Amino acid sequence: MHNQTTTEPNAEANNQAKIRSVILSALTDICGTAEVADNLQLDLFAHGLLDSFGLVELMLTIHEQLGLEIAPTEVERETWSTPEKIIGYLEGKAR
Amino acid sequence: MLLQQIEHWAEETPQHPAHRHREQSLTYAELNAYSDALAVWLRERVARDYHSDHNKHKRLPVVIYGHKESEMPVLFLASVKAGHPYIPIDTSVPPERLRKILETSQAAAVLSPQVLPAAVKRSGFLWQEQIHLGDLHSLAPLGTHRKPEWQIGPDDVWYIIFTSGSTGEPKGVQITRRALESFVTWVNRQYCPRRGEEVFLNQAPFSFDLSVMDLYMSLSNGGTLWSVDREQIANARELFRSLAEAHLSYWVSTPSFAEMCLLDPGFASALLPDLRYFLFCGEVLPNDVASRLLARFPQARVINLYGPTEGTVAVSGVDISAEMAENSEPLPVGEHSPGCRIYICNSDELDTNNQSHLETDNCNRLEAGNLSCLETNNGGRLETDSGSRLETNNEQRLETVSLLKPLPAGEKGEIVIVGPNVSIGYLNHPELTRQAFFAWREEGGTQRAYRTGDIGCQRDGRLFYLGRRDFQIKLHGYRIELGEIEEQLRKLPGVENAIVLPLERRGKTAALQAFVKLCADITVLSAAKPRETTEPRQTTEPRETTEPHGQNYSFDLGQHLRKQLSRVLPAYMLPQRYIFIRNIPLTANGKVDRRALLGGHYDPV
Repeated sequence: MHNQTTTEPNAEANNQAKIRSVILSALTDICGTAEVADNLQLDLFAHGLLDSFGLVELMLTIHEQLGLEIAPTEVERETWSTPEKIIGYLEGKAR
Repeated sequence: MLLQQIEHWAEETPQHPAHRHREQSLTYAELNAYSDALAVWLRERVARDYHSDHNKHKRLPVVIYGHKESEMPVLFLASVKAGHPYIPIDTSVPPERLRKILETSQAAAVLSPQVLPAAVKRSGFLWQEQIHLGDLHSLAPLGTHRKPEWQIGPDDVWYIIFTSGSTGEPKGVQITRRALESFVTWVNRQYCPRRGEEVFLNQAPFSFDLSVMDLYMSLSNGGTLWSVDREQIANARELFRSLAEAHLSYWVSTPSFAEMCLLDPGFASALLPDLRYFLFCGEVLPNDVASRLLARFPQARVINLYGPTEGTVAVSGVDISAEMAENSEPLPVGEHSPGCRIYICNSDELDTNNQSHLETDNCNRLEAGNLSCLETNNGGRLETDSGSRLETNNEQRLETVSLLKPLPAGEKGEIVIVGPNVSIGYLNHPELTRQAFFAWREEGGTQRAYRTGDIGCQRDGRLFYLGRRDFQIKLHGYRIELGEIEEQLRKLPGVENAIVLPLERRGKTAALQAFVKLCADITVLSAAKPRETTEPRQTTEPRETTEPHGQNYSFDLGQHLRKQLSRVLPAYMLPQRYIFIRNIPLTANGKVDRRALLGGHYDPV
């Protein structure tokens, strides 16, 4: 029991770290700039770094590397407009 | 004739919706009555405005500026009925590009359901009217309209679509009534819409010639055109809601759009139970997209079509079977062809021929002994006597190539299209027209020919597309001349030189990247480029200052260039990635070494 209470937060922290790492790496590749990892509040759509097709690529990467299936109808563009929002959404989904 | 077919549906099913966009709907009766009334008004207005020189101006094009408003087909048909070719311009086009198109086309007017950008309004070289359905109704209360005498002959231009141009400016492809009707007749015969029953998806903007297929297939068969706009496309939930409501039977889009929809498990036959056809054109159809569509929509056929804008949307198509889609070979792009012929030719021979007729032109075009020519004009006259010329109503002359021999089946070469679907050339660009169009002598006469720049081959009676021989690319279905973007980049202050290349991800072109060499005097840019981000920043690590040559500096500079470019280029032509380099790498021959850039062999700033 004692072990379980200590491993669960660790597992969640590991999971969160993995999500963060995968998303920032994928966004750096798709958006073509490391600025996305540097500024987590950067509006990806407003800066022309992400469009509908880039979003599709990101969803495919999420499925391949995190095993999370995201349907386009599941997300509003506004809720995925910054790296921070994307990471937050996925952390919530993975819980 | 297309106009008569549409009129037939206005009489047969007057209350049937011809066009639907969100809550707006336009019936066939409204489409016909409003376009007739607007044509009468347009003709009178042009006659009044160009009173002293009416004949000269009566066939000037009319720009139709809008997006997916239900009025759009009314404005198209009114222009045609009044005898003016129309130029569809999407509202996503930046004002500067719109102004350039207006200048190049010498348009007589702009009709729009929307307010025109201020920059265009101020130009003052043409008149503009904002026309809503309400205006149209007051212009022509149903049942009281005047029917104009249609003024479009078979060889008159029906529409002009502007595409990206390698010289840095967009160019207008002119499509005649004959070419359009030949195309529509073929697709109707081939893909058999049931009369008065079908619903066609309109995904592409009207400024993209793919939309010509859904618009005129639908209107010629008494169907309903179901438009989805860019806001709906950007919001998958809203898009799927619209698709579920539509009861589509014909899906007309780029493969990229269908691929995006396929990511959602809800994109299946339960969403579109009435769907019978997927008609794809504009870019390569990946095998896995075809395969997944066939699995999810077992009741539908997947058709892969091929053709450049200069060939009137498409000149060939092929029904893709599950077996073909599962094969590792690229999918064929055609086996049927309308009145058109598709030849595979040696590009060097085409170049040589092009060069020789240009030289001939410099000496004396009319005395080119071994060249015979074709003449088309408003009356469709054909003259094939040796040594004469081909002249269109835009006064563009084409020379016959009598010596060219197509390559045998299986050999790779440049795709040449010959036949009635071929455009009469680029509007007000005779030199560009001569470089790409020529007359082709064959048994029974001479036909217009267009060298596509596409590389392909024919095997087992099927056409395969293998790429391009120049710097034109397709990105999500949009045709882009990389040279046009490079030209616009070089015009920006602080930019000495720039090369734009496609960025490949997952085996396909996903975006554009610009390699930029800055001027030695970088202060030019520093002065022009204040930091624009005003939001507070939360960073994972302490942020560096935006020092010249730093990573953040590059990002800001890229954003600055992107913003400058967005004033003259549409969003789909804006590079996503900007890489600043010290020198443009060159090959041993002194040409730009694009392979080196793509391979990461450059000296970054």
